[in-house]
Amino acid sequence: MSIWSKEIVRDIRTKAKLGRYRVRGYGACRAMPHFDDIAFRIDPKRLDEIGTEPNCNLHTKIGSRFAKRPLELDIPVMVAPMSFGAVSKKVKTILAAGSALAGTASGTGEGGMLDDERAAADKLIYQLTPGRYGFSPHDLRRADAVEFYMSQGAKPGMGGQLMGAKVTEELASMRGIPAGIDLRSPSRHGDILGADDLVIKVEEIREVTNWQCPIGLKLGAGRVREDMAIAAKVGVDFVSLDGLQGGTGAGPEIILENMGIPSLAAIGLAMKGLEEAGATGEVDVIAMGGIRNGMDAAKAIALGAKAVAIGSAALIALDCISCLQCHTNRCPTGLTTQDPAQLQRLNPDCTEISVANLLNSLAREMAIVTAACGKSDVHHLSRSDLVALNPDAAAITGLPMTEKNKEPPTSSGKQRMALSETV
Amino acid sequence: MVEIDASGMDTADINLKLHDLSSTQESIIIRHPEARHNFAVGLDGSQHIIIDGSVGYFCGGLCDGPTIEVKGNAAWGMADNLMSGTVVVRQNAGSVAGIGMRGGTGVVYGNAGSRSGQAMKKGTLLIAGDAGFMTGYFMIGGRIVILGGAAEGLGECMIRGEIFVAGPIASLGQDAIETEISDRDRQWLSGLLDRWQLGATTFRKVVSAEGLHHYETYEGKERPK
Repeated sequence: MSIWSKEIVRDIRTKAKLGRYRVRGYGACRAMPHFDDIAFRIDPKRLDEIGTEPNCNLHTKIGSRFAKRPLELDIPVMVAPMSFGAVSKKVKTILAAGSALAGTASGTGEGGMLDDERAAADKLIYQLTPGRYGFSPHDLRRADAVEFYMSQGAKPGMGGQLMGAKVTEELASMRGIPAGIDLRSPSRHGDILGADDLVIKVEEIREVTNWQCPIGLKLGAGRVREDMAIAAKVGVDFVSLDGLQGGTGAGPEIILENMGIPSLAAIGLAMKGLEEAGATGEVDVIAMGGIRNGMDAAKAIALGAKAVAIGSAALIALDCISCLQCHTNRCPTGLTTQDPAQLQRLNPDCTEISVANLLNSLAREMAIVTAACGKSDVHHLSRSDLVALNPDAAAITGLPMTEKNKEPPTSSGKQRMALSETV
Repeated sequence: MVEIDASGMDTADINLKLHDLSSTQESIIIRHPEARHNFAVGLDGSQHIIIDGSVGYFCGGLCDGPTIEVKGNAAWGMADNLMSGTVVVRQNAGSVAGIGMRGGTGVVYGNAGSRSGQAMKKGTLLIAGDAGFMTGYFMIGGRIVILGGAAEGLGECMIRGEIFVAGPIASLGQDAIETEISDRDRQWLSGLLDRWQLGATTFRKVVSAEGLHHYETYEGKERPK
């Protein structure tokens, strides 16, 4: 196939008029190694122990390392943080209410905490971003957990982005910014230039929340091993690890498609980083970025995550058609818009029940996978339950392809493994 | 006067004690602060707290209401995310003083480090000495007043807000411009300086050129209606 596809030609012509990088919403759309490239295997020794789905324990505790009040979740699936800006106030409230119905948590994302969202959520994770929009000590004390946004999977190394069409008076007032500007937020926290600063900043938030809340870092998967060692050192309770397939309300297209580490690879690297830091099991990992169903979620947990979070899938449950126009304020299904007229397009049949049903479906799917593996607790799933289905997946996860051949089978696979180690 | 001897106490215990004293009418003095981090953070109320020495990072951060006076120096991020109230540092402050302030007043009698006032939304940051490089970086609102000189990149990428400088400006940051100072500005500055018993007569005013508020071109449906 020619490298000059129709899409590439159209892209070049568009940029010839535009004079800048192209922006769009959603996440990476191109094919890359993902959870479909690995599978569960049945341990013959456990065939007589096949469990039953209703007896499978899904209860999940996040952040018991230092927090006095860890997050207690009925299921290990949360709703990923999405800002008021990326989505509308109403959608944020629906997502929060859906998470509450399913006994789990949702996240504020950037831009502050909405009262409606707080009221609707049972457990709410409050995000601290470099722009500090709408950040308040009063909301901090209303949070069930706090997450420092360091980067995100869709656009690692970048700050938040919001096109002016979406920056309404209400949104601007909440963030403390002028209405209508194309907001390009700082990518770094000014008061956290390194791990030593972060230690102190984390302590500040602990002081303000009286050491009650779990505190975590949101990391776009990049130098995962090193980042996890830092996370262990700075004293956080959890890391929200967002892989390359993570979504966003707006970001430069080339970044969305090309920067970061696929979620499938990132989780294993995170476990390795924690092991190297002597912190295995201390820092909980919440995996996100392209989680679509309970099988993806179960695989992420078997690779070492404590829980997963769904973003794009939660929006699809509310009728998102994946048209990539999240940044324009003209979302055809009224999800990612702030325009009152466009908001009317929200499907009235898509409610918090839809979100809760999806979360519960994922949980039930995880339970049947766990039971089929002869286990009674989803957190007992492990790497030994997994196999890679192709050399690429074996190389980036370190999983065996078959029982007989536990190492990646080809020299090129080994080379790729070595490459992934150096990422 | 309530006196707290910080030596031998955990920072968390000191902060809890300050929190419990939120409605006291008496001044609270903290002896032997030992330059510890995160002193007097997250306080609501009308306490008047005097810290008899120097403090580490984030002193007075995330507070809403109290008056905090540091007799010595303060490290990074004094008065960060201040909602209301006052944080005064009698000597020098480290970098990012007043980062993310949403109200209230921060006063530094000495010099302040780089990027002070970063991402400020509201309130006033008064620096009686010199200010480090990129002061007012990504400032969104509020006012920064510098009685000494400002280092390179003043007001880098500022979105809104006003910076007044009495001394020399090494250079302006991207999208920052100098504008005329008004009588109203002079009147406000005079009141501010009187309140803190400081003096300066001639100021230059720096604001955003607003050149970064919008992309120059839009694709398809991106353009605001």
